[in-house]
Amino acid sequence: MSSQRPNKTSQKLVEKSNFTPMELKVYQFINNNQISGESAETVVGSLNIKMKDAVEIINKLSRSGLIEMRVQPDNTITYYATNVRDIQDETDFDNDEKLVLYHIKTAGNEGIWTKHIKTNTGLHQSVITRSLKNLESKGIIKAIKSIKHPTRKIYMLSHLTPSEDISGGPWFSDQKLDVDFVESLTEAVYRFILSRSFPKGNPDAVYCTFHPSYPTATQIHRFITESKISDVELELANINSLLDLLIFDGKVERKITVSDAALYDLMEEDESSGEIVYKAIRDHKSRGNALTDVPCGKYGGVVSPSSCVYFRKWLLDY
Amino acid sequence: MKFLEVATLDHINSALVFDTPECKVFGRIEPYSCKVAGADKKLYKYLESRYNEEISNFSSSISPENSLNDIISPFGPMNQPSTRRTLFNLIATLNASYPDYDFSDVRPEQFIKQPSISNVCNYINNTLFNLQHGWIVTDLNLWKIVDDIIDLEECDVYSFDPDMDSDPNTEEGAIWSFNFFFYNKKMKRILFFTVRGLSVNAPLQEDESLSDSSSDSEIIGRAMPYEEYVMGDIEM
Repeated sequence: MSSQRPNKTSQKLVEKSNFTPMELKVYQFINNNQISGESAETVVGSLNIKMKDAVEIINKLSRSGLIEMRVQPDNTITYYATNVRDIQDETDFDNDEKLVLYHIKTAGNEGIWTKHIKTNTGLHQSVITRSLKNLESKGIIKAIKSIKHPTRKIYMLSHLTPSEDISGGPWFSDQKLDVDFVESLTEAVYRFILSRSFPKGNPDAVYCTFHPSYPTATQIHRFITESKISDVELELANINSLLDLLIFDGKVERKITVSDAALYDLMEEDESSGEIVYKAIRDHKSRGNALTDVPCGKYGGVVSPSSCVYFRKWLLDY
Repeated sequence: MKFLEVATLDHINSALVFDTPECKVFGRIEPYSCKVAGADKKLYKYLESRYNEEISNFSSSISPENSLNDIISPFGPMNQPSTRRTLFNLIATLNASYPDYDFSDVRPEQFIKQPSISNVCNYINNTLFNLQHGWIVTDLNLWKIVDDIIDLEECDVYSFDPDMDSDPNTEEGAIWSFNFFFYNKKMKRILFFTVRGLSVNAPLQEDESLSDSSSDSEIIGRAMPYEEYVMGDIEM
């Protein structure tokens, strides 16, 4: 409850229903205090009614879904007015539907599988099917698909967005992995890291180990967001997934930077002074394979290690 | 799809749920009439629009010389409405038989057409005999009863072969399973015959009672409630 003002719309709704003036008064009193709610005692004290009557009225309001009970840390019980949406949800349905709806609500943006509704409520399949149909036709709930369990029937409240676990996040469209999207994005990230990993010009040059230009995940995230390569908004966690991809592919490595002071002080083990940066791994294939690095591969003649003068020299030098 | 109550199947369906020393077996035979009910219309429209969308996507990327009409599914060429109707009936049957699942997005390629009905019957017979329950075939007259419902000779037989994450049997932890759709187009009926085998230590199924069921099997292990199965010996 973030609003401090009494819920005026609820008030109007209540006034339209069949409540006695005293019941309305109690409701208004509770509705006026959205922050800390009211207890049965304060209701009795402020409205000057008997505890027995207060309890009866509170129970009636509670059953109608207009107020809800909360237990405070000191174990006292206070009552709060529920908001309008909840009222509309709860009053039109029979008990079975309310039960089913309760479990769907509790599941939040993960949604709940119909089989679990069955296990949790103990209701018969036909009752659940009917309730779901009713709730769906009223637009309160919707069916969604999970990428992990594509054939399961899962329901959630209509106004919620499925969590990334269910929808697959930015990598999935229509339940399918958007391979092109992932690949082009990964490529863009790699090129950015590459551009900051090696000095321009000389293909063999490298930066010294603690050169400050290697990008952090945050910098990469900013770059990608600003370049607008993706229509979908990407979180830092998404960028980290792509970085993992590049690391597993052997294209990029993770390094931890160290402050200048730590460089000189070998006892310094404060890891919090370091941040994680990413450096591209140079592709060595263009420089020749192992055979060409061995002396007799380069210089021709009878190719045999035993007859190779240079091979001997190389071995001796080693 | 309308589920058909057929009294003669009752004994067989009861007999198809039993325990062996190695596994717990759950089988069922469900006859359906291909009568279109409310929810089915929605499914049919969905499948047709999906097919039309695929056709139009396809045509924008392939030259006119390649005939699009040759998309062949296990049910025949997809451009024929009767072929699509078969797919619709099979999906609707799956939806009816597994109420916690929605198979609307299943691809035609996930079905297999069985070339021979007698092979299918032999396969089922062998499976049941190997599980010491061949008497369902012989003493309970399985095939005569099935034939009376669906007229085997006039049937096409299909199986559903899904990915692991789309398979309700895998979800339950089945060690093995089979399924067959006996589809009699003329009668507009489908007989769905499915059996699955779970490990003796698998969690309690909803169609299982806590007391021991079959009298002709030895009592090996007991059915564990789910929490115990999951947590086992772990001390919380």
